[in-house]
Formats: sequence, C-alpha cells, structure tokens
Amino acid sequence: MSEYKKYIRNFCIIAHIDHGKSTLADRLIEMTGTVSQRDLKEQILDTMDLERERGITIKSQAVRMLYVKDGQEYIFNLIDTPGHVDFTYEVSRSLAACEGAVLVVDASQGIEAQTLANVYLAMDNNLEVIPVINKIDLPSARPGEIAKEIEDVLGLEAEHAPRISAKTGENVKAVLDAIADKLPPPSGEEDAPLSCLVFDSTYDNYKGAISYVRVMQGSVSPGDRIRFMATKKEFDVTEVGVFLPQMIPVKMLRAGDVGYIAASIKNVADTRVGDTITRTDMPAAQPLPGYKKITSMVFCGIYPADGAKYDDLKDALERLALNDASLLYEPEVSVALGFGFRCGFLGLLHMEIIQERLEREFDLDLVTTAPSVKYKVKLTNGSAIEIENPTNLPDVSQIDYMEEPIANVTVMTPDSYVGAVMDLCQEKRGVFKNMEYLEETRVVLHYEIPLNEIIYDFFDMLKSRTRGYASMDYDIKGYQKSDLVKLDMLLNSEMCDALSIIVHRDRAYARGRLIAEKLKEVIPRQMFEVPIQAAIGGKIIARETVKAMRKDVLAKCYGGDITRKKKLLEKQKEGKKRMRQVGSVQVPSEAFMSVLKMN
Amino acid sequence: MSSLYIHIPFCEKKCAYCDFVSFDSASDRADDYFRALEKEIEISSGLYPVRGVSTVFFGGGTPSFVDEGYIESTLEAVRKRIGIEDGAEITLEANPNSLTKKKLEFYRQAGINRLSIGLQSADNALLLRIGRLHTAEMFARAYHQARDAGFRNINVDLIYALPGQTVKDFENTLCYVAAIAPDHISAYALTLSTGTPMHADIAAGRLAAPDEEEDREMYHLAADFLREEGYERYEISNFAKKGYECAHNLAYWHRKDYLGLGAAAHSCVGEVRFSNTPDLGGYINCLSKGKTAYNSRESLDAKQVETETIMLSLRLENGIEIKEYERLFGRDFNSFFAVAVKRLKDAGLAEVSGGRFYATDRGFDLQNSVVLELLKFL
Repeated sequence: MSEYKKYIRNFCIIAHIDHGKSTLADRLIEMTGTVSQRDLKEQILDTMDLERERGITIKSQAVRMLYVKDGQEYIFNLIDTPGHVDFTYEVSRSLAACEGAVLVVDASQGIEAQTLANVYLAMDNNLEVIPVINKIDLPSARPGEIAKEIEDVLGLEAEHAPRISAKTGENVKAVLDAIADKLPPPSGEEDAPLSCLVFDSTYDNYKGAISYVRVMQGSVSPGDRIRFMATKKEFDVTEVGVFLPQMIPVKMLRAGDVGYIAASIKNVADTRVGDTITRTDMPAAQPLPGYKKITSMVFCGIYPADGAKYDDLKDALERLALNDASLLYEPEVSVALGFGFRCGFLGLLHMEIIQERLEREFDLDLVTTAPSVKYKVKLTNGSAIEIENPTNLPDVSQIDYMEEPIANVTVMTPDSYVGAVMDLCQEKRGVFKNMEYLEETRVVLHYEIPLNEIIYDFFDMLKSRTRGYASMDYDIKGYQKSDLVKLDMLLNSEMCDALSIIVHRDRAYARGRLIAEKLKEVIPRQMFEVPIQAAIGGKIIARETVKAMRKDVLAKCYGGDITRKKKLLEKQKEGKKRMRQVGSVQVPSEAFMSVLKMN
Repeated sequence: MSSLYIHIPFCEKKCAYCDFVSFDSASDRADDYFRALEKEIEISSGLYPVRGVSTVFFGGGTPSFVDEGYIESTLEAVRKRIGIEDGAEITLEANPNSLTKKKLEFYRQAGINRLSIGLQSADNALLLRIGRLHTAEMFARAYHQARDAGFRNINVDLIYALPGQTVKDFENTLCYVAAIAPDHISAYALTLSTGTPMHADIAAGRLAAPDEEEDREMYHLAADFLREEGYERYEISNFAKKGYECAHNLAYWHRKDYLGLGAAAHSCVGEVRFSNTPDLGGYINCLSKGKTAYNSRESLDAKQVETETIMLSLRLENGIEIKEYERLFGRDFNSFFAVAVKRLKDAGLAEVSGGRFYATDRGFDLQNSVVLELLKFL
C-alpha cells in the first residue's frame, strides 16, 4: 500500500435526525482547523438556507480535513449525507464511498428508527462503524444505558465508545483519534483502470454539472476522456479537485481520494448518483455494484397560483432539476388549475422541500394537488398502464384490476404507545408483521402499509399519537393487488379534476365525507348556492352545501368619498385572483391542499 | 363644475356608530374653521374654473349644530367667489335636536332649499342606545317646523340593522316615516367601523347586531314598503318621490365634477380625485397661511375611470346606460362583457333591457360581486 493512501480515512457520520450529526461535523471541521475561525458558522456543510432552518441535510457534501496524530498527518474525508428516509439511496451511495462510519447516538434518546436503518445500510456496505454517544451535557443523558443498548441492539462494541458533547466540544478529540486509529485506509490501486463512484452532483454555471466522486481504483486528471458507465455518456475532464469544503482544484485524483470531477457536463441527469466513471483509454471491466435508476415514489401536480406565471414555474423547476437529478417533472393540464406540472419525488420530505424552495427561492405562489403514488393498472384488454395522476385513471369498465405500492414500515416506540401505534397502522390498512423489544420499554414494530396511506399524514399522526416519541422508517416492498377506486369531487355538479384521488374502496366513503366537509369550510359563499359532492364512478356518496352569499354591498359612500369602496373592491379583486374558477365556482388555492390535511 | 360639498366637522355629541370626521368638543374652533373655509373658497375659485354650481351640500358632522350665521356667511362667500346657478339644490344636514324654528327660517332666508334630517329610527329606546340626542317626538316637531318654514324638499335619514333592532322594529319606523311623508328617504344599513364604540361593544358581546339574513330582510322590506308608498328607489339606499331625487348625490354616482371644501372633504375634478386633511388643526393652519390642505391626490387613468363608472353606475336603479358607456369607453358593452353578463343574468343578479345593464333586487344585495364580475374583464 502506498504511503499516501495509508493515512487517508474516508468516513461519514450517520445518525437519527436531531441526534447531532451536523454539530459533530462542525466540531470536527473546527478542531482540525479546516475552516478559519472567521468563516465558521453552524451547520457549515449545509449550504442551503432550507437545510439550516430545518436542521436537515438535503444534499450530500464532502470536506477534506487534515489531522495530526502522534506526529503523523492524516487526510480525513468526511462525506455528509442526508439523514432522511426519502434519500436512502443517496445515503447508501455515500456510504459506499467510505470505509467507515461514525454513528452518533443521542445519550438520552437512544437508538431510533433511522439509527437502525442507517447502521444496517453501513453494515451492508461493509463499513467499520464507530459508535459515539452524544449530548452527554444534557441532564437527561444516560450514556451507560445507551452504550448497553448499542451493544445489545446493534451488536457494536460500545463500552469504550467516545462519550461526547458535540455542542460544547467535550471529548470530541476522542472521535478524531478513533477515526485515525480504528477506521481502515482505503484499498484500491492507482495503476488500475479508473473506477469512480458518483455519490452526488451539483450544477455550476461556469463548470457545468460537477460529479462528487470517490476514486475506488486508478486515477483521473484534467484532459482525460471519461465515460459514465450507466448512461454511456463521454466527456473530457476539465478540472478535478477536493473539498475544503469549497472546491479546490488539484492535479490528479487517485485511488482512495474523495473529490470532484468537472467535465463540461451540461445536464446533471448525465451524472447520476451511483454511476461509475471510468477512463476511455483504459476502461474498467465492470461498473461498481449498486447502481439504481432513481424512481419517484410520490407525485403531485404543481401549478402556479397565477396562471400567467407558468413560464416562471417552468424555469424554476428547470433550475432546481439542474441540481437535483431525482426531481422529475412533466407538463400537464388540469381543467381546474390550467397549465402546470406533474412532479415526481423520492418521498414526502423531498416533495415538501421542492415546494418550499420553489416558493422561497423563486418567489412563486403555488397550488399543489394531493400527493399520489404510482398505481399499476391492468386493463381488460390485457395491457397494463401506470398511473401517477388520478385524473388519468381509465373508466372502471376498462379496468381488470389495480396494484398499489406497499411499504415495509418500521416504527420504534416506547412500549406505552404500542397500542396507539398499532391502532394507527390498522387505520392505515397496515398488515402487522412482527414486534420485538429493543430493551425493556422500547419496541420496534414492523408493518406493511400501502404507500398511499403513508403519504398523507401518517408521520404527523404517528408523532401526535405518541407525543413525538415514536420514530419511523420505510422502504418499498413492491406492488400488491388492491381494491382501489377513484374518488371525484363535484362542485356545483361539475367535476373538479384537481381534487380527484385514488383510495381504497373501504376508505372512500369516509374520505369523501371528510373532503366535502373540508371544502365546505374553505370555499367562500358565492353568488349562488354551491353543492359539493363526493362521487365514485358517478354515484354520489357525500354532499355538503355552501349557502349562497346574502350580502356584499356597501350601504353608503358618504360625501363623495369613494376611496373606501374602491379599496374594498381592490381587496376583493386581489382575493379573487387567488381563486380558481372550477366551472362556475370560485375555489381558493388552499382548497386543493386542504384535501391533504385530514383529521 | 357641477357640485360643491362643504364639510362641517362639529357635533354636539358623536354617535356610537359614527366614524366620519367630526369633533364633539371643538366648537370653540368654529370661528377659525369658518374663516379657513372662506379662505379655501377664495383659493379654490382661483384654482378651478368654477363658475356657478348646480348643487351645494352642507354635510358633517352636524351642520345644524353650529351657529346659523356661519352657514349664511359661507354660502355668501360661495355665491360671491364661485357662483350658484338659479334653481340650484342647496342641502343642509340637520339633527332634530339642533333645529329650531328660528334657525329653520334663517336657513330658508339664506337660500337653503333642501333639508336632510337624521331620524335613524322612530324607536326612542333604540335612539338612546345608539347615542342619539333626540326622540321621535323631537324629530316630528323639527320636521313640521321645517315644513312651516317653507321647506318643500326634505330627506329623512334612516339606519337599519342596528343592534337589538328587529325586522318588526324597523317596519314600525318605516310606517312612522311614511306617515310623515317626506320627499326623500335614505335608508342605510349600519356600517360597523373599527374604532367606533359600537364596534367595540359588538366585538365584546355587549351588543348584538342583526345577522345578514335579518339585515337583508329589512332592506327588502324597505324597498317594497316604500315603493308602495310612492317612493322610487333610484340608488341602493335612496328612495324619492318622483322629481325629488337628490341631484347632489346623483352627481357623485354619475361621476360629475365636484369640489369638496373643509376638513376631510373629497373632490373629483377633471379625473383627479383629491382630499383635504382630516385634521382640524392642520386644516385651519394651512389655510390661515393661505395654502391648500390637500393630503391625497390621485390622477385617474382610463382604466380607473372605467372601473369607477361601473362601480358607481351599478349603485343606481338605472344601472349602466349602454350607449353612453360605449361612447365613453369605445367598446361594445354586450360583447366585451358577454361572459360576465351571462353569468350575472343566470345567477339572477342583473338584467339587460331598454339599453341598460342594471342590478336586480338580489343584485343590489351583492352589488360588490356584480361589479367584480365585470371588472374581471377590464
């Protein structure tokens, strides 16, 4: 092994949300002097405002740190990964780029659902895992018990696990030492054919799409011609470099390095997470294992609140997609909402993030439709189609049967809430698989639950019914035949396509009533009475009525002062702009989203 | 110039629902105020090509509360500087409690030929509750004295949907007024403005206002009852015997030029809307230095003129005169607004006939919605 490689440590930090991953990263960066004191800020690796605000990591980031131990200089490459279930695939690729992982566990919370999920992912990737017990400065900390839990549940030696406070910096040096001592150096040969694992990408206006890579074998320099083995696209390398954490060009990246490659790539879709980059002059025989084409799990329609802003929305989506290959969008037209886009996301959080970024970074007012999953529809003529937009569901007479995606859901909860969690899972059409005790009072429940039940409000309800104590994780198991129907909403006898959803037949009646009630609350009184009806295939299953407006007039414009009346009219006119015309009915934008917020 | 509005911002006591610019403890400033008003008349006559107006309206506040000599001298100044056409309508607003036989005869002498008396309700308990200083009997006495003094054109102001008022109560008031037989009746729904004592009482639950259903019931009752009694509704809240429509108010609805004088008075001259400061001291100060006291000015573009035309015309029973509209704005009304017109007709809110587009009874209930439906297409 070359001397150079021997002192490289590639690692990531894994943790359940809020257990202190980003804070520990900040401390490591600070203590290795990677970033000058002046430039230090919280969550330094989270560059998006949204990441900082919500305390979550959305995009992977990497940073190279120098650490001197016993007179020996080490290169630490920390890859900061997203911590949320939506981004499991990205996390798995980031893990694959490392030899080790620092597992952060909160000293009072203990192991949570995502701790478990991330540790399993790390183990799948054969990583050496260093457990670290964080937040020992909290009065509720119980590091001894948590160490035992880590040993019992995860089977990791934890007696000597560093007990730290990332917040105060206490004992963080022990983590740095453990990284140097316990994690293995990277393997791989510099002279071998190039194989680089792409673990993320970003878009730069000058350099084009930039691949974040871990060089597994070989070397790469500017001027090399490279090929992406999955997409088969070829490019000439213009720049390679490392992260400090800002990008610093270097002459060459070699086996064991973590860095970036720029090659005037126009489109981020050409540099997919998980793809393997090789050199065309001496190509690798095999791509690295584990590449998956990203599949969207959750879909919704996104429309500009003001129809005239369609082009702005289109530009904004294009811009976001430049940096986010997992965001899919294609134009669609709704009778109620006009021109917009059907967008595909990795999960609910991803969807929320995209919506929020569109509104904040691009100053757009959006109308979004209820999220949907992808259904498989077998037609009576023998063919099969996939449906992401409920509106496109063919007539019942043409449908043989339908299938919906099912998720394996893991819920971790204090045992006192087991009943509440089971009730919830049951309500959501969950099928109980098994239950284990992690420790005396903590339980992990395994359920199979249809994804379309999870995407509404499962997470919020889980949190509220367990006072925030339960955590969850899910992955997709596959498709399953199911008795599904399309629930339509009619306003003044006209169907509003943007309000249609696909639900299980047993749920349709309750959901239809709830939506009708909700719409009654949000649709203002109109010039005439507006019946709201829920229907399945033409059969009305629920009805509410918005009574006609009784009075909307100013009695008096005194002394020629018409300013008040003009102002009132202006206000009403502005209000109307935020309304959608569905047939003859004015529907406020919130109505389309209120369908999501049940209960 | 068609009309002149003169604001008299003094009251003996402010009513519980009132949010007009008026002061009930500032009558010691009356001298200064009327001096300022005369100054404004003088300045305005130089600023605007005003030669003879066809209506003058003293509003308030309570114009009948201040010494009648002020009204006379103001009117004199108007005659001298601006000019008043022969046969002009000259209105003065009055409260029953401040009218005396002597005052009425004086007004008549000074040239006032129309009185607008605030009765509001014939229910004495209700009058007390809303902070009025008179009873129905005091009103009746003032009214008959006015007739005796020679007033041939009298309006009575009513307010309905008052706290605690029932439809039956209001019907009694309507009967009472019809029996007295004024020439013109204004019936306004109570407008609750934030900042008024009544608004606070209702917000705190100490008073309860009738709901929208009752409010509309009272309105429709007024319209039907007064029609039978020979009063034609010519504007949402205004009813008159034939030939007694208020020319001054019609000038507002028809968007004629008018000049407002006095604190807080609004003007519209040559498609520019402007208004004086509502601050009494500020107004007096400015004019004592020989300067105008404008505090807002809005120059209307073609679209705003059209917007105002729609909004104001549709308050009138006659609605929009289509030919006139097309002449003013150069578009074919029926085809340009075809979608809105159809929607409104279908909803029973408007009608087209006799070359006019006008709101139905139900359309008057939802006049804002009717206007907005058209404005969407501008």
